[in-house]
Formats: sequence, structure tokens, C-alpha cells
Amino acid sequence: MNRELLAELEKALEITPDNVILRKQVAKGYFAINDFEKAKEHLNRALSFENADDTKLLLAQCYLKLNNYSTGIIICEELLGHNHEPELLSTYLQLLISSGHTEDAIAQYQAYIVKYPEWHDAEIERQLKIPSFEVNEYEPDVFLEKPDINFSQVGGMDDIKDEIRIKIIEPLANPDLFKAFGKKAGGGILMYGPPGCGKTYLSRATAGEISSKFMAVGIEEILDMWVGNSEKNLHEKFEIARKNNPCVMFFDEIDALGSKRSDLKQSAGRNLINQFLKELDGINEQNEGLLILGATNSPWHIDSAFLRPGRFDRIIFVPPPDLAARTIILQLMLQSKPAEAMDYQKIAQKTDGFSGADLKLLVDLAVEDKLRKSMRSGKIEKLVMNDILDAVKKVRPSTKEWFNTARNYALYSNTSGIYDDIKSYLNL
Amino acid sequence: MDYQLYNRIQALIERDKIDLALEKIASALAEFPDSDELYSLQASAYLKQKDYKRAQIAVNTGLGLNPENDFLYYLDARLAVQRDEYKLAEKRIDEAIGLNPYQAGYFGLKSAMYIDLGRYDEAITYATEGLDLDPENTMCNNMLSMAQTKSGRAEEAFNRLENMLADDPESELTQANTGYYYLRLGDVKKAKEHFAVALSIDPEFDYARAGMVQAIKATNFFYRKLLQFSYWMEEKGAKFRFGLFLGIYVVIRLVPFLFPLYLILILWTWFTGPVSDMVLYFDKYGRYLMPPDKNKFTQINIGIMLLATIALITGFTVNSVFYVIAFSLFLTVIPVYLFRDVVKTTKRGVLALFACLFLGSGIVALYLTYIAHRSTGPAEMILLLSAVIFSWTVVLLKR
Ligand SMILES: Nc1ncnc2c1ncn2[C@@H]1O[C@H](COP(=O)(O)OP(=O)(O)O)[C@@H](O)[C@H]1O
Ligand SMILES: [Mg+2]
Repeated sequence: MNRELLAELEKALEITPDNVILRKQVAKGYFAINDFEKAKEHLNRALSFENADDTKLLLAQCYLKLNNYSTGIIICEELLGHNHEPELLSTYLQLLISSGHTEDAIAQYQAYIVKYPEWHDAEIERQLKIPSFEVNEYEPDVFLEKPDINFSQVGGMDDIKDEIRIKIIEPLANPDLFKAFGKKAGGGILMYGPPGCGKTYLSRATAGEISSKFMAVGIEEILDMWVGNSEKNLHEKFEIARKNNPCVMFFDEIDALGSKRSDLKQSAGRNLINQFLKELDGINEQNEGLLILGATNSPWHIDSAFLRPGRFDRIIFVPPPDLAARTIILQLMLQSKPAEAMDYQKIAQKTDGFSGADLKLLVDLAVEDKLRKSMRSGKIEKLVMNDILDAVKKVRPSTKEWFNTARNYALYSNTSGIYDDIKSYLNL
Repeated sequence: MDYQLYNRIQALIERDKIDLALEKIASALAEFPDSDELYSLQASAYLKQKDYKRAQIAVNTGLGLNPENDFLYYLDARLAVQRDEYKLAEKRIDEAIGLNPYQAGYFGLKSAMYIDLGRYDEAITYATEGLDLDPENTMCNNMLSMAQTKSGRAEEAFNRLENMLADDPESELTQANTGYYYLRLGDVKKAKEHFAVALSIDPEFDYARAGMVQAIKATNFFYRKLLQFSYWMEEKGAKFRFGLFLGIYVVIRLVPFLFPLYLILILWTWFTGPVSDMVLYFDKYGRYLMPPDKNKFTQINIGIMLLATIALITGFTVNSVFYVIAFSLFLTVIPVYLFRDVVKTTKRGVLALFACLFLGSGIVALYLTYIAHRSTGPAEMILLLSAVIFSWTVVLLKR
């Protein structure tokens, strides 16, 4: 939610000050944009109507952010009398740490891990310098990500899903069968295509789909390695992944590993690329059970060595979702919203060229609009087909610009045929 | 601001992750609001996005914070060149060089500016000065060879280009320049080869794209000769060009039976360009080489040409007044063709005025025939007169 929308919702609240649900929503909105004073104000008013735990917890978190630790601690201690949800435990410990009561925090922490063996908070453990129990010391927070989505929440992209299934899911499920055919689990897949079409999303869903470990390496980490000339760092990441086999490693914006040729002359960036290729090839079959996913919006910036046959097993073009995929994506996105049944296919027909991210924006716009209307009427109004169709007019497909660039590469720089897929997609 | 942060942002810009770079710059500015270096990064990022307005604001802000930042003056000069403001650009690049006389790239830009202005001797001087600082500098080497080619010292240029290509065949600038060199000689095949290599290295490199467009058009005999003719005149300079046209005019006055030859010259110089653009438009490979806005003008011209052809047929079958209309439409094609490549608003205004004059006299002719029921003489007079004035204006407009 942006400030503008929040201001409007506040206006609605002036008319219906007792709408606690909305007030909490507004408070959360302010919390999300780091306006903790405002959030606090609304939470306090909400509490004057309804004495709810989640409101109090959020209020305690506001006090934490506002450095008013003692008030936060009092609220938490009151709640802890009857409530033991993980977020409350973490908030309470954080308040203790921030206010300098480290000893207390350690004592409480040790009590909690006995009482609530399921509970665990890496950030708190890091601050208290308590070695994490799940991962050993050599493994910093690289595995802590636990994406909660799986393939069923990703519309379309069947090609890549199949490829991932055959490379890692099936071999793990039927090891003997695959061994009989001389196939090992693991390999490398490189995805490229316009932004917002689900490359990152699908990779995260892979983690949810497979009950294996998952390591994401993003642009920030890549730049760290690049700026610091740290091939060792890259090697360590691969080593951790190998030790935790089976494992999915995901390199987002992988083109950042290299850089335009002219810059490479001056820097040692070349080493980083060579290191990556070495790890990818896997010396002495170490890569068994390791699936390496790479994604990029700018395949033309990828070092050509990556694209040579044998480096990645598959290089897959991820186009914007087609009609069928858009239908499914819209359905997925509207499922969780208060919406009447609608003709998803018809909306999909009107959104040619939209990326998944564009569709998300579209749904968000329609939802915000409906929220405003609901505020005015004071009851929940369901989304109908026309709301979505209205929003379609407000969103421009964002993939056009990408294809303008891609067309140039497909037409004039396709010497080794690497852009053939783009070429046929654009009918060139 | 710390060095690491600077490097990271620069790495992002080099990788074309401009949005992310701008985001990082914005948040870094919150922490270091008076860092001129951040503004120079911001300007570079916007420049890469071709957002010249924002780039200029960033440059101005940066210079306000630190009026001794030579790189910002260099960027300022590039922005001035972009707007065709060469006087200002000259001043800015001199300021950059004054503050830091050891950057070969600054001399390269200065040389490029003088090439644009047709002052090849100065261009050679500054490119050479840059090469004294850094003999490997691609920009300076290329500017030197370009200035040499354009001032008629093709031999020297060729040797330089050959050496540069042997040294670094992966430089898109050198490849494109070699393409232009061959284009000048009329060796279209070789030119195409080098432009193709340049484009395969960077298909978005405008200089190489424009070169490939010329090379494709030059496969056609008329265009090739026109191109060489214009190169030849470029070598001779503006005064010569004007003198030549004056001379031709005088000769035609004295020896009237040469007039048809003159007419052919005019038709050739006027229509080869627009017609080549239209032909190129129907070729997929060629069409996408053209800047998108240029294609819009070509579309307009294709429409006008179609109308003109219809008018011509109507003139033949229905009423001869449509000949006048066809003529006026054909003439309109030329200002429309020239419009996109002139930058100055005043010059654009002149072109628009002529387009209106041409079209207007066609409409007046129609009015005179079908509504006023009079002779079309006055309309024809306006049309002819404006065409003659236009032929002179175009010569002046070119520089
Ligand atoms: N196929 C899809 N199914 C469901 N949601 C999608 C899909 N593609 C994109 N999205 C939505 O768009 C957002 C942006 O997609 P993302 O994976 O980050 O794009 P990319 O990595 O290709 O640039 C996702 O977070 C998701 O909400
Ligand atoms: Mg992504």
C-alpha cells in the first residue's frame, strides 16, 4: 500500500471509526512503509475498540522500531502469559537484546528451545552468538530461505517444469531406474527472457516442490564477489551445496557474473567466470544431486562461454505467458481474493503481451479500487469481471521494450544461433 | 562515499542494470547527499538510458556541489553535443581538460566534436594529443582515422584502421569505422561485412546501425553515387558546396538547353534518399535498423507517394489539374524525409513550412478548378516558386 491509498483509507475511517479490521489494515500499511508513529496511533485506537493479541503484538513491534523498548517489553510479557506464537517469542527476545538485556535474552532463549522445540530464529541466534542447530558453523544463512510456494502456484512454464522434474525430482524419487539408464540427478538449466515472466518465481517454487535444500544467490552476492574478486567465495558456496546434496542452487541475474568484454580487460572478473564454469563442470563428479538454475533478463550480457554446448544442459527461453498460461495465472491470483466467478479466458484474451508481473499489477489495481469502494459502502464488495477489465486499460504490457532490444540481437547478432528461439517467437 | 559502493554502482551501470543502479544511487544519496561522485554516476546511468533531461539535472547538481569535477564537465559536454550546442560543448570539454589534462577520452570527444563541425585539421590535432596520452585509446584512434578519411587522407586512415583491427577485432567502434571507410571508397560489400561484425558485437550501436543502413541503400547504383557525391562535397567544405550550386545555376541561366540535365541532377539528389528509405522499409532486416521514429516518417511518405500515384493516374484519366496535385505531393515527400534528421526547431519549422506550402498549393489548385472555376495558374506559380526557393534552402539547411 502506498501513502496515497493509506491517506484515502484514513478518510474512510473518519466516517467509520469503529471499523477495526480496516484500522488494523491501515496500521499494517504504515508499518510496512516504516511510519511507525502512525502505525502506533492506529493500533492504539483499534485496541480501544477490541482487545486483540495480534494488534498488541504489532504495537510491541512498533515500540521496538521506535526504540521504546520498555513499553514493548511490558506488552509482550502480558501476552506471553497466554500466547506462545513464534513471532511473539522473536519480538520479545529482540526487545530484550536491543534494550541491552542480553543475559535475560539468552536465559529466555534457552527456556524457549526446550519448551517449543519447533521454534527457532536465526537472526536472534546470530545476535546472541548461539550456533545454529540446524546448520553448522560453516554455513551462514544461505539455506534459511524456505519459499512457501510450489509448482502448482506457477501458471504455464510447463517446459521448464518438466525439465526440472526430469533433472532432479524424478531421479531422486526413482534412483534405481535412473541409475539403470546411466542418468544422474542434477545438472544445469539456464533461463532467459523478458522481466516479470516467472523465472525467479519458478525457481523459488522449485524449492517448495522439492524437499531438498535450496540456495539462492542474488545480484547483491554476485556483485560482492565481483567487486571483491572473490572466486573463493563462489567456490565455498558450491562446496556447501555439494555437502548438502541433494540441493538446488539458484543464480538470479546470472549475467552479472561477467561483464562487457571491454571492462574485463582491466579487471580480474574473468577469473570469476572461469571459476563458475569450473564449478559447473564439476570435477570428479562432485555435482551429483546438484541442480543449478540460472536466470537472466539480459542474455546478451552473459559471457559467451556460458552458452557453449555442454555448460548448461538446457538453455530455455521463457516467453511471456501465452493465452492458456495467462488464464491459469489470473485464476491463481484471483482465487484468494473475494471475487465472483468470472471468465478468466476472456480476460486473458485481452492481456496479450502481459507478463506475469503485469497481471499481478492488474489484479492489485483492481483489488485496491474495490477496497476503496468497500470502504465507502461499509461492506465487502466482491470483485467482478468488469473491475478486472477496467484495470486492463490502466496497465501497459511491460515486455515490449525488452523485445525491442531482443529483436536487435536476434536480427543482427545471432551468429551462433543462440537467439533462434526469440527469432521464431517474433516471427522474424 | 566509499570506494566499494562506487564500484558496485558502476558495475551495475556497466551491466545495464540501470534501474537497480538508480535505486542504489538514490539510497546512497540519502546517506551522502553532497557526493558529487554519486551525481556523476547518476548522470552516467541516465545517459545510458538516453534520458538526457535527467542526466543534465544530475550533472548540474553535481557541478553545484563540486565545480572541480572534470568528469562532470565531460558529461556536460556530451550532453551539449547531444543537443547540437557545439559552442557550449567546446567550452565544457575545455574545462574538463583544464582540470584533468591526462584523460585521452576527453581529447577523443573534443576530436569528435570537430569532426561533426567539419574542422578536420583540429580534429586530427586533438585525437593525436589524446593518443600521446594513451596510444591504445580506441576513441582517439577512431577519431583520427575518421578525420583523416574525411579530409581526403584515406591512405593514412587505412593503415591505422588495419593496425587497430589486427590489435582488437572485437571493437565495435573500429569495425564500424572501417565500414565507413569502405563505404566512402564505394566498396559496399566490404563495408557491409564490417558493419555486420560491429552489429554482431553490439546490435544497438547507433553509429554502426546507421552505417549498415547506408551500406544496404548503397547497393543501389543511384544511392551509391549520391552517397559518394555527398562525401565528396563534405570533403570540400560548405563554401565549395554553395559555390558549386551557384555555379550550376549561372551555367543553366547562360546555357538554357542544359536545363534537362539540371532537372535530372535535382531529381536524383532529392528523391534517391526518400525512395531508398521506402524500399528499405519493406525489408525486415533493414526496417528494424532504422530508428523507430524515422520509420514513422517513412510510413507517412509511403502514404504520400501512394496518393501521388493515384493523383497522377487521375490526372491522366480525369482532369489534368491532378497533375499539379501529384507534383505537390511528390515535393512534400522531401521535407518529410529531411524532417527527422534536423535537430534545431527553427530548421524543422522551415521544413514544415515548405511541406505546408507544397500541399497548400495543391489544395488551392483543386479549389480553383472545382469551386472557383478558374485557371490553376496562380497555384502552379506558388508551387514552382516555392520549389525553387526550397532547392536553395536545402543547400543552406545542410549546415
Ligand atoms: N507463471 C507465473 N505464475 C504465477 N505468477 C507469476 C508467473 N510469472 C510471474 N508471476 C508473478 O510476477 C512476479 C514477478 O515474476 P519474476 O519471477 O520475478 O519474474 P522474472 O524473474 O522472470 O523477472 C512474481 O512474483 C509473480 O507474482
Ligand atoms: Mg527475476
